[in-house]
Amino acid sequence: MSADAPLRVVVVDDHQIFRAGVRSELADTCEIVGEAGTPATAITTILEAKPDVVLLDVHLPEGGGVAVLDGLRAAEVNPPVLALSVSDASEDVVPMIRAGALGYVTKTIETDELIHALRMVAAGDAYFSPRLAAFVLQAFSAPQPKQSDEPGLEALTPREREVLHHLARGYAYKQIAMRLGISARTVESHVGAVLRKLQLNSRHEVTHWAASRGLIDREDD
Amino acid sequence: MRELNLDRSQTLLALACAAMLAALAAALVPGGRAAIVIALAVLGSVGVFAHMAPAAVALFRRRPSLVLVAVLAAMIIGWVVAVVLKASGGGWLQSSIPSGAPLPPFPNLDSYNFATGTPWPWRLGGLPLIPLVLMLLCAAGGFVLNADAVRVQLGYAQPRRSSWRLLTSTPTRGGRIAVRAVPGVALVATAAFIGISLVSQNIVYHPTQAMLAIIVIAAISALLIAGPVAVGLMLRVDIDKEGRAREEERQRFAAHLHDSVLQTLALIQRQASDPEAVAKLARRQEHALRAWMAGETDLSSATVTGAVRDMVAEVEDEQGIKVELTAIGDVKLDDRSEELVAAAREALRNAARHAPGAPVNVFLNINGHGIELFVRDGGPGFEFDAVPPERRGLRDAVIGRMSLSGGSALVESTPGEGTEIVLKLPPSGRAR
Repeated sequence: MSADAPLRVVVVDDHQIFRAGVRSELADTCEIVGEAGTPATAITTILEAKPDVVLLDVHLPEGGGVAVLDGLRAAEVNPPVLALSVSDASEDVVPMIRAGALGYVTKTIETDELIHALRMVAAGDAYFSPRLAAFVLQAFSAPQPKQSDEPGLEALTPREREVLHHLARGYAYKQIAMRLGISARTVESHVGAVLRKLQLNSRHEVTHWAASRGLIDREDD
Repeated sequence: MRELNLDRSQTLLALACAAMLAALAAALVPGGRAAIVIALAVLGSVGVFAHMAPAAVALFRRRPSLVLVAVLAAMIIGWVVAVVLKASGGGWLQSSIPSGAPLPPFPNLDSYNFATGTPWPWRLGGLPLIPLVLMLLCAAGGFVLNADAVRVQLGYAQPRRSSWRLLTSTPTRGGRIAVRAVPGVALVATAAFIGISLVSQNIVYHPTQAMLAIIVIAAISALLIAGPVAVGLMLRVDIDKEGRAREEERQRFAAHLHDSVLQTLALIQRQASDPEAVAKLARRQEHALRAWMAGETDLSSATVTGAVRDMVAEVEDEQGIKVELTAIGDVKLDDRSEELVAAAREALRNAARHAPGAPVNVFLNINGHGIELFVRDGGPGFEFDAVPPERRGLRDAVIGRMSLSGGSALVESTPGEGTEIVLKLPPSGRAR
């Protein structure tokens, strides 16, 4: 994909007004190839449109953004996904990343920054906003479960922790690279490693992880 | 746990059942040998237990209420086996009711096993332990199940795992009352049956007292079944009250939205021609609404995160800048952390003055190692050492303040790369 070609984007959000707003904001740089308001329509739209990147709201009716990510994985289609929400709550955001989203931004993000994030995610790189970096740091510093059969989070290396810390403070990849005396590509690979540690493979582990932290209710039937 | 190998387990279960059936057949043959019957039955039981035990343990862990049902079933099976053994003439269960004994006193609980006609073994002070304990267990179990059925029906089941829920494995939603109510009533009925059979043999000698005792037992059983329903109806009243409280909450919510959000929207419409004013209004309202939704309005000055949030919103309004605040962790506000918030305010003002229009990030990180606050702007940056000593803003208001309260402040700036001010405060215990 060349840098000049317009990104082909699918926007999933249950607020029609918000979708219209995003469409007009992105009109210059991106081509909106599909829109959806529910997980079910989102999955069919994405399967049909085959976009470069999906802009996915966390809060959707009928299961939320996580349902879309699960549905896509079940269909074995894995377009890069950028999660987006009005929420500031880590219990909304971290499950999206764990379910496969490559980044997270809030709805108050500037247009330029949103386009930058979309480009990064479309290229397969992780986009960590300062807030997401902080949430992820928090998730990793939460007390680990006692039982050994529970899939806890693999610990972060000191370098990964340092990179996340800088991201939370608002540094760009290039600046982090300079401060830590490493290459920007190495910073990217650290962020990617954090992402992989978060994204456990099986759905069971994710629900288990979320339920054990009280993020979702565990049904017994 | 549930991925049981059904084929293997079914084969072994069939073999065990065949052994049990053979035992039953041997028992029914006139003149059958008790030893053969018992040997076959034990063989079958061992087979069943050996291969069903893991699945049963898993099942009971999932649904602990099944234990009560299993106990009930085991009792019935026990009776049937005992009666069959007795009918087949197994010599070891011969009846030994004493004949021509003197009139026993009332109540005479020196009763006989209703299945075999032999006296109950294991007594305490003359009372037969087995039927009394069974009766208590059945009554208590039935009461718990009935109460739970009522609770589910009223929608009082806890959404999270409670100890109560672990005991009865209640689903969160109703609609499956019979699953609990039927075994519940059956258990209470079993308890009543055991109790009545204990006193009923007194009817021969003490008809009035025995009838009274039976009526009392029946009344207690009815109470065990009806009690939860009565309590449930009282709880219903509480739920209605709670519903009214929620309605009041909703009205309060609507009033707040009217006072804040709708007013701001009206202002925005009126000032639609001034984009800067609109952005400022929207930003301020966003902050207020977020804080209110997080329930932080009342607590604002009680915790460090709340105080920093307020401070950031004030500086945003005052300087007309946009600050991205990220906070993890929280701790109570005290004198020292108040100084940190004041220092952060100066740092933020400094960023607004020297980096106009540049993005400003504030990262507040609170954990066991103390409080860290980072104020970073993407502005032009400067050489801190080149600042003339008479310009005391950062030196006094930020660095001096932090060292006075036992913390530290660090200003890092590179021309062209922006500025970061790092404030650190160790936990209060360590500073002393």
